Amino acid sequence: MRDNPQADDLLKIAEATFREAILPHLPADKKYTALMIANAMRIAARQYGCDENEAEAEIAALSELLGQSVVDNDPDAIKNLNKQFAEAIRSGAFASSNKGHNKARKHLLLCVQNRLAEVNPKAISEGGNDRR
Amino acid sequence: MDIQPGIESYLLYLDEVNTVEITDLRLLSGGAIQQNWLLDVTVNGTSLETVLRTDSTSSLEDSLSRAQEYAIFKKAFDAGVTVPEPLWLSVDPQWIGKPFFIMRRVGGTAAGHKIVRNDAMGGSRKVLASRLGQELAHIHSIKHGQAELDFLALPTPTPALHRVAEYRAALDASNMPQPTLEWGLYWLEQNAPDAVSELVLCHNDFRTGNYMVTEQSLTGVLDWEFAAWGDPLVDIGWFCAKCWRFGAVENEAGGVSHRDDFYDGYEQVTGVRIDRNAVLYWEVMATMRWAIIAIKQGDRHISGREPSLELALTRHIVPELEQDILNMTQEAGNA
Repeated sequence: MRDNPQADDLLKIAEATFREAILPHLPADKKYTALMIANAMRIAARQYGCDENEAEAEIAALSELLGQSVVDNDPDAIKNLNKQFAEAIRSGAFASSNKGHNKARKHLLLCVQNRLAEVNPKAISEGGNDRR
Repeated sequence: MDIQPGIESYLLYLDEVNTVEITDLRLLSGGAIQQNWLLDVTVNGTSLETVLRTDSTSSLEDSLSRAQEYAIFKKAFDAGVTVPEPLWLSVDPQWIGKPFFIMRRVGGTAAGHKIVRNDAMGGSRKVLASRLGQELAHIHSIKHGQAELDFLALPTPTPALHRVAEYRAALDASNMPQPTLEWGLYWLEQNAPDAVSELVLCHNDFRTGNYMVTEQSLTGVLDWEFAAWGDPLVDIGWFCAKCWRFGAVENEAGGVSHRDDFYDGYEQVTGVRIDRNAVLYWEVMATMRWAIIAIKQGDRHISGREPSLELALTRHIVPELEQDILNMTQEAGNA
């Protein structure tokens, strides 16, 4: 058993310290790189804190969309199902005239927003579209 | 590598040059695909402020060579596009080990995040957007069939379907399945417009961040390495796409101003009205293209070929682009 504080906590405090104690003192030509470092630490901390159940939910949703069952404990299940899903979309199986279209879009949006919650939560659009 | 002796030797080798004194030579920041060097040089007693452009350590397989880029600079300069004046080109590796060209340096900033936050850039927001529309129209005045530019790619079977095939091939070459991008590509395939009657020179990276501007005016359109023949709406969609507004999403013309200011400038020069409804398709295509580039850049880091924090973080902009694609295709309907 590891001692606390662990990865997410360490990354969070390291990032906060870096932003407060180091970043303001850097010359202008180093700020961009420093901000990238802080951003990478923030993403990593969020990924450590993410919900492990999301992967299981994604597998379940993909199985339903593709109409197939998944072998228990298959380590490659999520990648293989996404590959099949991608191929099915390319072939037109989820075209707007087809039954699974809305369900598939909803699933894609959920997955995209789950990833955005880790890398850029401010970018998550509410209820669809902020364009025009 | 110290390139100064090689540049001096090259300039002295030119027939018209008798004396050379380099007074400043510095590598400028930025440029993942090419290097830009600030070069101040006195030639035959005349001071020149220039930029030397050469290959970086890495290059994208679909970008142009420096010699081809130089030919485009010359063509654009002659067509009245505001570009830095191209001065000399060398493809001989004996001077600095790789091809390079030298162009006049133009003043101002290209930093997108600064430009979109400053109301006064380029005169005013409205003036700058209109001027950018005019510049793009001058670029599009160069029609397919120019012998000097016969190296440029032709899109087949149509500009839109050419891109769909190219991006699918890029996804096939990448390790991870991308169902959301496949969703967008299917929509782009099903809604692809017909081929245009006349192909024009497309800049293919005409956006905020790739032009230089002062508070007085636009001083230069830069970064021509992706130029090719195509549908003029490709450039209009790329310029207006949400992903190139640097956070100023309400200013739909490149984060600078209203869309109509940009369109007005373009239409003043061409005399042809832009089909407003057709632009959305090319904004979806633009968002797709940026997502594909981001995946390729991320793969350069992930593969270990080119470890880079910037490339690694670029890979993580993909979900935002995917969300835009899902929203825009829903808005447009069909497929």
